[in-house]
Amino acid sequence: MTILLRALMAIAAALALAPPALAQSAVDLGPRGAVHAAAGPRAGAAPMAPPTAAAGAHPLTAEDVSAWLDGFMPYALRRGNIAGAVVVVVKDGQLLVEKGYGVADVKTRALVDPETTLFRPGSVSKLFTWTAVMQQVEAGKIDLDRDVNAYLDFKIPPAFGKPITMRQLMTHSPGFSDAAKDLIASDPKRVRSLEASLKAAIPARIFPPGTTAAYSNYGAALAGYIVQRVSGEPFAQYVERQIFTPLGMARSTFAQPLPSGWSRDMSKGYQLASGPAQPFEFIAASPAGALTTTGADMARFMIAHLQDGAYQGGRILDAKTAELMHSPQFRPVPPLPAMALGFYQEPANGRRAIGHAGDTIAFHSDLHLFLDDHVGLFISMNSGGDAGAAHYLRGSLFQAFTDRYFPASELAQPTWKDAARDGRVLSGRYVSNRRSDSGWLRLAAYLLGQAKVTADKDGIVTVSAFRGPDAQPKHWREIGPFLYQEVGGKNRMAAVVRDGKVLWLAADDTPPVLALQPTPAWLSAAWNFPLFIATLAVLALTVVLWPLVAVVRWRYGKRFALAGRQAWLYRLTRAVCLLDLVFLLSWFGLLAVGTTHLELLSGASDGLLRLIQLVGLIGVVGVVVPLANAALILPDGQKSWWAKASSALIAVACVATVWFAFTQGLITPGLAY
Amino acid sequence: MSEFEKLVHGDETSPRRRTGGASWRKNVVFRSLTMVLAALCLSCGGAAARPVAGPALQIAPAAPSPPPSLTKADVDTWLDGLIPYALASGDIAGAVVVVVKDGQILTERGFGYDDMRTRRPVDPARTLFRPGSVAKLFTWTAVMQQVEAGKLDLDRDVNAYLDFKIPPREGKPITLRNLMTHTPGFEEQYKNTFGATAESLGPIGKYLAGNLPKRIYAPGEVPAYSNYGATLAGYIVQRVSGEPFNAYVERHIFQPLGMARSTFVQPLPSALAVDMSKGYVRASQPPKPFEFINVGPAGALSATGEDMARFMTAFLQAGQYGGARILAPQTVQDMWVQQTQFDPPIPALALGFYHEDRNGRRIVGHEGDTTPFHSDLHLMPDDHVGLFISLNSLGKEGAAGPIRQAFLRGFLNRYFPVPPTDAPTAATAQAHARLMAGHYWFSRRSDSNFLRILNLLGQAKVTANPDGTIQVSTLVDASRAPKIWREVAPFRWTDKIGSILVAVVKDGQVVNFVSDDLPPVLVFQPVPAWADAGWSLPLLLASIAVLLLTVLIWPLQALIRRRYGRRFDLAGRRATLYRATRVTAIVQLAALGAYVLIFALLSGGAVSFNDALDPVLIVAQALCVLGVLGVAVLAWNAYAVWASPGRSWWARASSLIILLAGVGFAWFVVTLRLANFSLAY
Repeated sequence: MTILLRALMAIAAALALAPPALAQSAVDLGPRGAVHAAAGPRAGAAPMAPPTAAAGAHPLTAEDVSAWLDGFMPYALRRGNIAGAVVVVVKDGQLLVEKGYGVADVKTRALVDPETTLFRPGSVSKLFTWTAVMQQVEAGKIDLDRDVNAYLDFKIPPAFGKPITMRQLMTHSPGFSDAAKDLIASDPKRVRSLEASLKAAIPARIFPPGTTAAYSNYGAALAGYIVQRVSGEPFAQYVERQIFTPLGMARSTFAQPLPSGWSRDMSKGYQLASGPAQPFEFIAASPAGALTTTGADMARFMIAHLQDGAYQGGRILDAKTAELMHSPQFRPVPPLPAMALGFYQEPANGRRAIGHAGDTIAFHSDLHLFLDDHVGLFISMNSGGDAGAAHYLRGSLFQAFTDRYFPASELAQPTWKDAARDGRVLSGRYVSNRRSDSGWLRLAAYLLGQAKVTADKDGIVTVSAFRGPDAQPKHWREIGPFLYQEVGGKNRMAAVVRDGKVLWLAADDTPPVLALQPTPAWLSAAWNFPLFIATLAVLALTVVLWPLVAVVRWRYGKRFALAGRQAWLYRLTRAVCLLDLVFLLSWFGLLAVGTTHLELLSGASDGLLRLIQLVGLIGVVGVVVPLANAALILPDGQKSWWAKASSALIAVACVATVWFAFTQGLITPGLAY
Repeated sequence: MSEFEKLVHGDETSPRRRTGGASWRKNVVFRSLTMVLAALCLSCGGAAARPVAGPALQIAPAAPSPPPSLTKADVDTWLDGLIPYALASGDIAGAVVVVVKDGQILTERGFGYDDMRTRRPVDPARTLFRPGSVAKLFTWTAVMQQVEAGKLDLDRDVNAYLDFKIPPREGKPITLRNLMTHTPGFEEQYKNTFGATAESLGPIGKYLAGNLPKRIYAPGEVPAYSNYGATLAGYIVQRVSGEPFNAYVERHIFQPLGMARSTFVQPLPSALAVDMSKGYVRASQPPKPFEFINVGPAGALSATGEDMARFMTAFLQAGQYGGARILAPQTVQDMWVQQTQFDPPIPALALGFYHEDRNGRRIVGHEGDTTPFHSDLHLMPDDHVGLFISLNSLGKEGAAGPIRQAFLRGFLNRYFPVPPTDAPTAATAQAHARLMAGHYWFSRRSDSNFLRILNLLGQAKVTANPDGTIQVSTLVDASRAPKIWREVAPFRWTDKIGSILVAVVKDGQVVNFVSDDLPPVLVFQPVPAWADAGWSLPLLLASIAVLLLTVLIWPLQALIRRRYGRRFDLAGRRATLYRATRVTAIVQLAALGAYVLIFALLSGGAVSFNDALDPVLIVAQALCVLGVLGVAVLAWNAYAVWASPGRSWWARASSLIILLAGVGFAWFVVTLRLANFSLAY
């Protein structure tokens, strides 16, 4: 099981060219309790500073923040098995502090240098794409509310009777299914152009546009492509000319591979600092996450946004455009933070704050802007670390930074009168709104990744997917109708409930692009998962006992008692079990290996996928054999109870395999996932 | 944490396992220089190959910041960065940190909570912690007071001060100096270290006379940490002073120093009990009850962080604090003189204090661990700086260990930095790595009883890596990955944060090795071939597997026979032997199972290492005796099978394999002392 979990956690990271999808990174495996990857990019901190430690605000000076970071970062990195990090803080249009911690290369012990060491901020790249879009909005070339098909040379097929608009792409509400295939590659030869990758696989649309903010790399890449089309410049070149150059970001690029001479400053990326370095990650959907940059360059970008587009006499955006971009546009789960245009609103002790997180497999980054305080914070780490350490670290860093420099007194709110009842309403199984719905990765979302929501008799709610920095699930107390506060902390959780039915459940320690959605009963892991394990057990036992029984027969000099049709049914039944077992286990093998061998999650393994599906298809069609076998044996008075019970169990396991083949998207006409 | 986990993770005294990383060294100068260079010549020189940078941003303050100085503001801010996240990520409820400098408290800080249920914040002046073995420093102080008074001689046979007798070993008596340097040569003594209740705490004299541990080394030769030895010293103070130990410390140390919120008394007086921090294994789990420590002088202290500041200041001021004097200046100096100098030249034990010299500074201190509480005290005599930290939870994956290391090493690297030394790898690296490879155990271990099981399961494995570096399975960094050690001088290795590992080699054989990641009160010794886990652990597992299969196949075979309508084809003596063999296997498995049960009970916290465990231990030992006698049955059976013609190859092979498993069982019963007819351990 451990391998499975590890696989799943890594897959979650692979899927996450930005916030790891909640449910996909959260695994629930029955009575031993849940095992989880990171709960989210800002997996919130437990109360970091008790009252005696943090009385009053500390002045945000270079001296104070330096000493504070020197306390925070080295131990946090070491404990998390993270090789290195860069942290920059800007204030009032100036760089306040830039710090490198740890190493850019474990082997050579090269230190991280905030000026020169290159990091991959992953989805923080999207902020550049959104900035480019807004430049084109200013130029009158893009209308935020027009059908995006107007700007494309291919067609996003209609769904739900509504077109997709640029505003929806920017708020992650076009309703696309998530897609992991071909997202990150290590072989440059396998990287398609932006245009080709967009046209090759348009993800399924699983929500009506504008109903929920389901994170979409595809949507961001599409926006970048639109910029490319309306400006007439290749995307990477456009950003270079219109954003990097005006801001003096000379050590930033969207180019892949890196321009020659840059590689020696490129930080190595790691899953664990104690493990091997990962290859450079090629991201075909480049506007969604291909940026390579330094901490110092990111300081320039933050300053430009904090100054509403103005930078050293020039401008990358008009003030009005910047203000629009920073303002709330879509609030999926009120009253939790909203999506601005591409930026997430962030909870910051009542301050107006926006930001964006970013994750590649190795690099984990976060950018925060305190708009009214003219303060920006950027961190990038070059390793994922132990059990999602990078996520907890950056979430805690942001919260502790906010509490130190922008503290707020906490009001003790009474528990809401209907807490016990509402706790029961929330209880159940959930999946993330960011999920791969159409392919075999449904396994990750539905079978392994469901979040479990429970409530005690007082209505204190626990959500297995929302965890603190010690990886313990947080507990939530209701303080208003379906509005919750973290027990012993400040984070909030809220649910959208209509007619007694939960539509969405979200917390503000994950970005507004993530929400949990109740799982329909027929897909609930509460019974599907035990059934799946039982199915595997029955299939495996059947396959193992087959030759064993033959050996024992031989030992006692007995002949095979069955003959004719019965004998053939006996053998074929076991053959079907073998196929079913191979079929089901193959997906998990793929999940496990795909995490360390990314090329497996690409078109390169389509042949393998089809082969597994072929095995499964034979197994699925072959379900008639164990059924016939059972039909023959069960009414037969001559047969032993053992023969009857086993034939019945085997038939059930084979039928269950058919059930999983179709409900988990294991046999599909297409190969999108 | 249960007693079993204590064995594994460290108990009240616990230098057994204290590994973990620390913050790493940042080259401040280098970094400032880079910044200046970047500002001065953005596109010249070494940067030529790089793209031209854009307009330079002002950094405020413009000048490169000087290395941080040890001020209240700086250390407070640094602690605000370090401790809260360390606690939150480590599932630790609370901590107290005190820094004294130049006779004053520079800062005293409480972090987190002393009670998770009420969320009462830790208050450094109010909240009591249990500093565990840091308490020994008070005992050693009391001993030195009695030396000053002329009532004790450090080099006299301790029997002169006792009302019971400790027999000599190899003709050598034990002295107080041996006790203070943990070299009396006692084996580890676990039983009754902790009492289940306040009532179970007897007079220390009675405990000492009744639990005298076996001597496994001649006095003065091998450092092997001993709580018994420290308790003995406390008892000697009690005897020569005529005052009960707790009252003595109260009158002669606490009162002169104004440590009004410190005591060795158990249970706590009610005035102090209300302010006692709860102790946790994990903050997210229920608290552990107050621990009653039978070896009081070795670790029963309860104290506030602020009181510990007074104690540190008294030592830093050569024994004097606020007009009172607890020791003469010369005595304080004497206590810090390195006493043991084992062959490996690393900082070693002074009189009770450990030398923890680092970054070119003289540092003396002591650590302390109870089940929940984990503490460290460090004095920098030449810099007039003292540090005390105590955590009230063990934390997730033993987080308390790495946090304490990060605190000390981060503090030193911040305020007393040294330039990194990058010594080249020694030419002997490959050969010496191969020489070091193998299994090791600690000098501090049990020897005469069933806790030898831990000596088998807990062996450290030294691996020679292909590149000539070595790793020790039990020396891990903060993220629990084994550290990589590079040889920089013959038999001297260093890791990437400057810790040291030194081996003593004589005649091409490793005698022992030590690391300054661990206190200098224990050494790694090569495991003799007969006890090497490399072969004996697989043998143990194989024996268990064979016995298990034998027992499981017995009824299964009967079922299959019935299914195929076959009769049992053995009769008479052969059938009896067949059955007796299987019954023997059951007895042997049950005997091993009884020991598994013992450790399960200990790890579940259901029993402690005290008399309550005796009944189970008696049953386990009896089963072991029966199981060993049963080997004769197995041998007879094998003989009978091989002697009678017509038995299948399967019957012959299995009778032999079962016999071998039985012999394996007997080997472990004997070598692990599983049936030693004694209830002491």
